[in-house]
This record gives sequence, structure tokens and C-alpha cells, in this order.
Amino acid sequence: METVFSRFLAAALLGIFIENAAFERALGINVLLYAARKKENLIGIFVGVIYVTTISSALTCITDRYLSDWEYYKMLLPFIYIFIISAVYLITLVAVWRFFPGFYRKVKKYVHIAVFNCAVLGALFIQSRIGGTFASYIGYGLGTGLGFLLAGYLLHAAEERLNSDSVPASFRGMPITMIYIGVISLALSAFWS
Amino acid sequence: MSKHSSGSVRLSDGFFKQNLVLMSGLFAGPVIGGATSFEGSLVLCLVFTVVSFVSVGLCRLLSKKIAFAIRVVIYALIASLVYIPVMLLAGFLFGESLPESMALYLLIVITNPLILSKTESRFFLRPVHMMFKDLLGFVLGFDFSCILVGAIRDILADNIIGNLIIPIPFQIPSMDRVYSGFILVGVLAGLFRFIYNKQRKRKRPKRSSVQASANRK
Repeated sequence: METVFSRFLAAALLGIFIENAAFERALGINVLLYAARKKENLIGIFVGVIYVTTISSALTCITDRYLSDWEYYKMLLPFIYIFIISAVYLITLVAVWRFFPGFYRKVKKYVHIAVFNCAVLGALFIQSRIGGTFASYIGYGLGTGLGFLLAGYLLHAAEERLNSDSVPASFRGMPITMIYIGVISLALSAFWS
Repeated sequence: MSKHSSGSVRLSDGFFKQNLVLMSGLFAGPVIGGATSFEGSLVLCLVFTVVSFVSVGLCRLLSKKIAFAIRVVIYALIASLVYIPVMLLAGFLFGESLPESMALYLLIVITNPLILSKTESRFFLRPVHMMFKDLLGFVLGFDFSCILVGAIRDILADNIIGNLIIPIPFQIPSMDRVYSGFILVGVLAGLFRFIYNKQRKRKRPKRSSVQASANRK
């Protein structure tokens, strides 16, 4: 039990800090920029990303374990992963629509952005390359989502300053945000190395 | 009727005004992480161009009666199927020179915003020929940005672009790292916007002076 938990924790910490989807891999930048612009959707989008990466990671562990010997598995990997993400998305959406119709009306406009993005697909791909146990798959999925939330929070905290008049007009918004993420990424990579 | 469905389509819209990398940043991730060299950026451009064109064309055939939630799923599945032969083609053209680190950034082309969001909000609101012209603008804009970033990184890191040696008295070996990509794309985006805004301001007085002379007449 202790080993399972330690593997889960190690994979989660790897996903949050060392292999952070946004800072270390530049994944899901469009979602971060969208979430920073539409502040009211911030929590919904990040909860969506955490949920989908965690559940999909658990399912990809099963396919990686039982289908990896199949000769066409590597070739069909993108389709299989998209199929898994789609299944999680549709089942969850139907459940939310059936049991929480008010919440469904709120999230239906942007839920696909949280689900079909580079961060989710990238996390599944990286985890399949790393391999590991069921616990480490779930840990890495959860860690990726939480790492993405951390990136979103850091971006949200600096949003006002990055769009202020003290920044030259041409650099205001996206360009200075990229440089800001680059500086955090540089600091993190220097720290971990 | 939406404003997108009427009027002519300008290639410059997707290339300059809504450039996916340097203006909106909607698909900057693969360029930051994947376009670490000139050759790498060419591979990324090939995969992005073919996957986007074929997927958007196939997605257009879907009935609009299907609910949006299901349509998005089908778009993603179509893109993931189109990706398979495109990767075989890329492997055939570029062979073993494809770096392992590129695989992740080539894969995420499947979730590119041209297929998953611009289809609904923009492309499908136009007739087919105008849709492809509009799409071409976006694709060329991405390809331009990707090759520019790849070439600059190659020049700064190794003083070389393709087989051509560029005599620069310094090298920055860390140019292939993700943080360098973020900073480079940020700086290029700022310069791109600066040039675009200058050009727009230059055109505006001309228009107003033409209008004023027309009013006088």
C-alpha cells in the first residue's frame, strides 16, 4: 500500500512541477490564454482539465497494458487516445445534463475547450512513454491537471500587470504573457536542474 | 446571417490579423516546443498543413443537425485518423532525421484550433471555396511563424540554417529549450504586432483623405 501511494505521489509531483504541462512542455497555452481572458470560466476549465486527465490516464493505463503488444498499437495510438478522451467527455456530459441541468447550461459553451486540448492529449502521450503502474498513471494525470491549474493561477495573478499601460502597446497581452511564462519556465528549469 | 458568411475573404486575415502564433497565440505551443530547428519546423508545417486541410474538408461533410457536443468529438476523431497517413508520409520524406522530442508536438496537431473551434465559429459559415481560401490564410500564417522561429533558433544556437553557415560571433546553445521558445515567440509577437499596427495606421489616413476628397466632390 505504501509503495502504491509513494508511486502515486511521485508521479503527481512529477506532473505538477518537473514535467509541468505549460512551463516545461508548452502544452495548453491556448487554454491558459482563454481562461485568463474569460475569468468567470477559470475554475470550470481547470476542474475540467484535472478531471479529464485523471480519468483518461486511468483508461490509457488499461489500453497500454493490454494492447501494447498489438503491432498496430503505436500507429493507432492517437486515435485510441482521442477515442478515450471522447468517451470520457460524452459520458460525463450526458451525466451532467441528466442530473445537473443548471450546471450543464453554464459549462456547455466551453467544456470542449477544457477537454480537447494539447495538455490533455500531451499528458496521456507523455505518461505512455514513461510507463509505470496504475497508480503512477493516475498520479501523473492528476499531477498534470494540478500543474496546469498552478500555471493558470500564476497567469491569472499577473494578468492585470501584464495588460497595464506600463507595458508597451505592441507587447501588451499575449506577447508579454509569453515572455512572462518563459521567465517562469526558465526559473523552474534552473531550479530542477 | 453571420458577418463571416458575407463579403469577400482576405488571406491576410488569417496570415496577419489573426495569426495563430504571433497574434492570438492560439496554437503557439507546438512552435515553442517543437520548432527547435529549421528542419523540425518544416516537418511541423507539413503535418499541420495536411492535417488541417484534410480534416476541415472532411468535417465540412458532416450534417449540421448533429448536436455540437457530438460534432466536436467526430472532428477530433477525424483529425486523429487523418494524422496516421500524414505521419507515414512525414516518416517517408524526413526519415530518421525526425527527432524523438518532436513526436509530442506533431501529435497535438490533432487538437489544433482550426479543426476544433474555427470550423464552427468561422469556416463553416462560408461557402466551400471561400472557406478553403480563409483556411489557407491561417495555415500560411502558422507555417510562416513556425519556419521563422525554427530558423532563428537554428541560427542563434548553431550559426547554421539548413546547410548554410551564418557567421555570427556568438552561440546560444539553450535556444532549443522551451523557455527560449516562449521568450522568442513573445518578442516576435510584439514586433509582429508593432509592424502590423504601423501598417494599419499608414493605410487609415489614406482612406480618410480619399473619403474627404470624395465628399468634397
